[in-house]
Amino acid sequence: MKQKVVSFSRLFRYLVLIALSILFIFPFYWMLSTSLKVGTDIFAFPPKLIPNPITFQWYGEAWTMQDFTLYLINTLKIVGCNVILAVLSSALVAYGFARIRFRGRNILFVIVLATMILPNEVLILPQYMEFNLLGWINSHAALIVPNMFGFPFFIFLIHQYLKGISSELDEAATIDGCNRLQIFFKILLPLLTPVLATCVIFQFMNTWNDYMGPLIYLQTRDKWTMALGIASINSERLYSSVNWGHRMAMSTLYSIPPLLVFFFAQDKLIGGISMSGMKG
Amino acid sequence: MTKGMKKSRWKDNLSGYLFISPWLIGFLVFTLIPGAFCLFISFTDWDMFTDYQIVGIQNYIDLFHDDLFLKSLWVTARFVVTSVGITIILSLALALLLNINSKAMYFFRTAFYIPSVVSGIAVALVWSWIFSPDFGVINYVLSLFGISGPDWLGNPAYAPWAFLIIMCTTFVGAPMVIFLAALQNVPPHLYESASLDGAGAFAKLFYITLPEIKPIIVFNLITTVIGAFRTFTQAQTLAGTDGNPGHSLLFMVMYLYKKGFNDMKMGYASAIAWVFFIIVLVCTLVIMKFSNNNEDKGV
Repeated sequence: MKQKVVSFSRLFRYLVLIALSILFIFPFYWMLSTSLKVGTDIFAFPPKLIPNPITFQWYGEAWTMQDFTLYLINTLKIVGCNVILAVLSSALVAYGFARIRFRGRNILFVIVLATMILPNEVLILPQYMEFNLLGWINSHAALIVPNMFGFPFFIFLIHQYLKGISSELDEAATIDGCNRLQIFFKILLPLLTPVLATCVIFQFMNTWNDYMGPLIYLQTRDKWTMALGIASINSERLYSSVNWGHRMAMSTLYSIPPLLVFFFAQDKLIGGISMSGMKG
Repeated sequence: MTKGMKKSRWKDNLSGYLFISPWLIGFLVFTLIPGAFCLFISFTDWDMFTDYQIVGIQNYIDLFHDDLFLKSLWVTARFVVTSVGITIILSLALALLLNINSKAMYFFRTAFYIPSVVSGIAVALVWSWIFSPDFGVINYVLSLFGISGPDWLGNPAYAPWAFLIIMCTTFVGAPMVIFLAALQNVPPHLYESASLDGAGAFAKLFYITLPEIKPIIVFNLITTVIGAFRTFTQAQTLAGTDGNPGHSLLFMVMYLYKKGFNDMKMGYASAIAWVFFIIVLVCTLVIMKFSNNNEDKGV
């Protein structure tokens, strides 16, 4: 009797999970499926679940209609610079807060934590005017340079991780005559690899998927990123099967890198998110 | 000795500030100074090109007579309340369902997190295809039941609800993962002793699980509220700068963007930015205060 109740609740659990997971995954299956359909099948009614015959026509067309190769290079350039600069600067700052006693340390660290909840949208106007003065409009500098100054969330994550590493190592190295920079680069940085990897993944996702930043700062097509190229296919607002083919093909390509990173580094990403909650 | 200590204290101060200098400079140059500047120009009529005049609080007065701004306030408020409610309940429910030892759980956790890693533009585009009136999957499924579905994203009566579904799928991932980690930290002996006392599943949920993970609920509440307020990419992709149909998807950040970058009314847009900031701040503080009060009363 008891056995039956247990297996029923188990069955119910799985049914709910399967139904909901379809709602969450289906859109991305549908994106891929549509992108591979021939023109007449895209508007087929009833919709065809599996594309048959398969075509890669939309991928080729959409990629060459605009200069997506250049968009990709631009995106990779911005993403690459941002990942390195943001993570390295955050690690330096976190080291300062975690390992050195200096005047005003606690109050400044509270400010770091407080800025974690500041929505950046509040600052887009004055930052735009500031970058305008600096001549950074329509240049990638506007999207790269602000990342050189540490991210509060990363500073917090690395700070917590550093607190878990015994400072005896630092002291031993000091006795051996290492200065703080040497300690940081030679001893701590290698030990920080797991948490740095988490930050790299977060920063990759955020920069790769960023739309508002490029939208504000990049005006001419030679500076555009993937996000702007796809938005531009969308803004044609054509309701044709060709246009839907292009939209879905480019959306699929654009989604592949974050999905791959997520599949291969899931534990790092999820570990980092769980840790952010542990602050409470 | 004292001299040596003083010297090392001084040296610590110097190297401390050197190490945190990237953040300190960034905070001053990209947060504090722009924020103050934004406050100043919110009291002017600056348009970026001509000379400005100080207009006092006129921009703030105008805001509350601006039908579109009030509309964006309403659109945002309704969305924040509904999406946060659904997201917190759904992510907690999923975490509870996933909190058993089984390989299958990794699969489901991945599935529920996928919409959170895909770019907002791609999410918006594929959903606009799914919701499309004539060839969309949703209306096809409805037609099987003899219902002729509406133009979901083209009709102001339906667009906010279709948008709510889209956004909830992308909001749920992060709080679900955080809840799951928190659930795994609840000491098992609490449940064991409750079982001995004859507590059922619901009693355990309300008397053990929820009180134990309360700080995490508050954390997720705050981050989801802030995330909902920041809604931009998906709405802009689906609804354009005006938040059509009928401004039913005109969120505050979109209106801020429109006034600043399309109309070049920097003074007015800065006033929107500050009102936005204060609303988000007050919401955050109210949630914190409310959760602290409960803590004092309880136990």
